[in-house]
Amino acid sequence: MLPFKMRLYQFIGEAGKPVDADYIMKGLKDEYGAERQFTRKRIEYYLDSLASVVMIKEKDVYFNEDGELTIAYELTQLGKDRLKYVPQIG
Amino acid sequence: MNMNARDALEKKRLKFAKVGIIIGLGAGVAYGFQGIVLGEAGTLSPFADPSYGLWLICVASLVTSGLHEIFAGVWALVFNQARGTGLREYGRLLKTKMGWMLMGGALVGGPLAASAYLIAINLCGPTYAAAITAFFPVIGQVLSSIFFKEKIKGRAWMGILLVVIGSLVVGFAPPEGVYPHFYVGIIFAVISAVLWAVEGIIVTYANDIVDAYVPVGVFRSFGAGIMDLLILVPLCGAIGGVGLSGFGMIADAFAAGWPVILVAIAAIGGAFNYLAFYSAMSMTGVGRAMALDVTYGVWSILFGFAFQALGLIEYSITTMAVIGVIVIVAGTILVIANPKELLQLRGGVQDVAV
Repeated sequence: MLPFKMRLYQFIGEAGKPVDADYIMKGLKDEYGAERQFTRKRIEYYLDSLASVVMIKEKDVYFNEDGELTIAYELTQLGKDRLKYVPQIG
Repeated sequence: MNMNARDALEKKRLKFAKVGIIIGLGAGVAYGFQGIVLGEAGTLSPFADPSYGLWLICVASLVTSGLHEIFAGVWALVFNQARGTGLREYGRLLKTKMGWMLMGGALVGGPLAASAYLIAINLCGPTYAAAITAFFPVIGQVLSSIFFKEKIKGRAWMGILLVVIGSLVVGFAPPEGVYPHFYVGIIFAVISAVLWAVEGIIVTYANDIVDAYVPVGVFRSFGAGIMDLLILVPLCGAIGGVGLSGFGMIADAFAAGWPVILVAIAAIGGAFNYLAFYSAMSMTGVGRAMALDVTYGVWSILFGFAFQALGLIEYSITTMAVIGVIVIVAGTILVIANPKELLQLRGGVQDVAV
């Protein structure tokens, strides 16, 4: 298995569409769900840090039906280029 | 995206960058503390002895550095285990290319740069070593402008330069009588500054897709400490003609007790600095993180006076050093003054939905 943040970044690339924190939690739950680090707060922290270094970009931002700020991300060109450093799964 | 969501997003990004600034400042405080405590440990036998020539001083510095890194690794592991990024994540990182790139950065920043810094502390004193190594943000900023197209505006550049000038003012004149190899220490401090800047670049490149706290625990602390003690200590001993005396020092230090305890206490500051610095680089940019970290020169002075007032250590500093500190503080304020500039750390296209 990959380090969690690295897998999260890879998962965004694999998705092929903009994804938000909820989608990521559902998608990675089978792999990391039993670990203490697997929290929404941690995922959002990793998304914030990936965005701040322009590895991912906000594609859509809105308030969901619960009034929470929801951000859908996709990889930037820089993020796509760096995927070569991540081992392929399967 | 409607205006309210756009505003909320900007506030969220700004808050993240501001937290990065606070973490960066915390890194500086921690390293100021670490330098003073480690400097004090370096004055105790077996790390110091009136009979020691230059090479034994260097070996002793490397021993202190290695022990410090090992203890910092222990503290970092405690922190990482508590947040769920402990040994299991360490193992995962070790199996990746980025992980070994970070190992390269840790080699540069740990055994090489930190050891040069420790030698500088012992040869010219903690505050002077801290003052000269404060050069590294400028080097780091130049490198990150090239490799990461990182944007730094004129005001922040002015701030970085003031920090550097202030540090040079601090280090201009040696304290009286205490350090016979003062200028050799200054040279080691310069070497350390260059290597720390290079570490920052390597680490930031690899850190982008890795949790910043994990490589600190694996490479920057344990990895660096092992390389220090098993490679640099005997190598320095061989070059200097003092053989394996470094290992004897380790045994004597544990037998004496208090010197090792002081190193372990200093390593709390060291671990906090590494964790905070690595994190701040990816939250607020390499140049800014370095400029904030370099305030350790200021904190070194404050901790020095505080510990002297408590009767724990003897501490001396020149008037020029105090003036230099004021210049450093002014420079740091210029660097961090406008947090909104932090929102886009790097160049390149960044689309936002409209």
